[in-house]
Amino acid sequence: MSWDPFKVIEDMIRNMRRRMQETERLMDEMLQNLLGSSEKTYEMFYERAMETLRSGREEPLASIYEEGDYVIIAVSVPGARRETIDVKVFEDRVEIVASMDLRKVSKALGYSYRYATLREYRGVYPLPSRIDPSTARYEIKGDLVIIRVRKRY
Amino acid sequence: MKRVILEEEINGFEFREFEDMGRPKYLILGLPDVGLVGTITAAHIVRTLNLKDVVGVESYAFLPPVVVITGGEPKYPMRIYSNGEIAVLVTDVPVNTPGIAPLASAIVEYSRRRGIELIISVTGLGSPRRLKGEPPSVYWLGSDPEVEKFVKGIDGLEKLNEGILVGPYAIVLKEAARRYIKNLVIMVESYPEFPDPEAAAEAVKVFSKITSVEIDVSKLLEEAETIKLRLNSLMKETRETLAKMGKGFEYRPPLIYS
Repeated sequence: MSWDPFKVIEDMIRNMRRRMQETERLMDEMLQNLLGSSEKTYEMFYERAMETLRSGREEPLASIYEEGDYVIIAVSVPGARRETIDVKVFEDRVEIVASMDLRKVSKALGYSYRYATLREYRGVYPLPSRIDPSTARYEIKGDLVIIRVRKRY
Repeated sequence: MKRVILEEEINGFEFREFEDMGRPKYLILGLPDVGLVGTITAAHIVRTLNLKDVVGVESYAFLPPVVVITGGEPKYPMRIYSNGEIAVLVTDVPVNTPGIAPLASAIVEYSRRRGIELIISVTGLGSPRRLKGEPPSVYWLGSDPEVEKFVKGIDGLEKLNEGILVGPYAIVLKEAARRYIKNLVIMVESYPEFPDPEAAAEAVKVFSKITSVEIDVSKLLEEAETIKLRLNSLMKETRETLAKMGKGFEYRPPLIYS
């Protein structure tokens, strides 16, 4: 069989084209994965907004951390009516409920339908360690509820 | 919606100009991050200085399909405001992980083309100290040694000597150094997971000192509760996008220490 330089070049081009197509496919796949993750995030935002709309309840933002023998749970309840804040501490979780001051809600969020239905904060927060509920102390600093509770050993 | 007079595409982001933004010396970035400190700072500066939105930033690939309506006018969710001296970038939507690097890089390139002298990134440094009611400390970091001249002599501002910065501001810093643009990062200790207007007030004070433009923060502090309530949802959205971009790295020390 004789050596055909045109055939060699043709093979090289075909190989190159195949590799380029493969790279393009991988890049597309990568982009789709990334964009797919964005879609999932947006889906989650939507579900949460719908849940708030359906129930009129908002889960307050919370920050939970451990400090030596204690677990500290800080819950942010801007716009809550202070006298309605109710905190329940269990061995494995903290629950908080508060009614919202509708005047403050309306001032902050405007007149859109979603916000007009917002009535209450309600949150349940699992704790990183078992705690002793009888040691729980909480204070309200502005719009923050800070709960300090001793771990159970 | 305002009519576009000039459009530039960089890294998949279109910068649609409605009017000439002038030659602003400073561009302050208010991208959602820890404590929404940058977001609140940027919004306060826009409101107090009564800046006009002159550029809409759009990407059909990286931003959700959103129009924001304020004062009866539809606007782009990401916008640049300017008065010719100071420009401010704000966004009503969090930037998703795939869009962070292209956006940060595009912002720096756009700044270079518009002759911005200093990009100021404002962010929070999550600290449980804030929950104890302690006043926030403020730190700075520069893309090159010359940035120090902008912060020299400002009381209570310390250079961050050690740590890890994660997210769009990390890319802005690297891209700024690469493109010979100055970038100053102002980092204020803030609530790790709640909007923090008090921390933003500290950033505004530093910005006032850098630019010698008086910006009153009393309204920001008076309206703190309203701001927190208004930004609750954005904070939740931001928290999720921060987790995805590896924000957790910020809470551990770097490998090499001095």
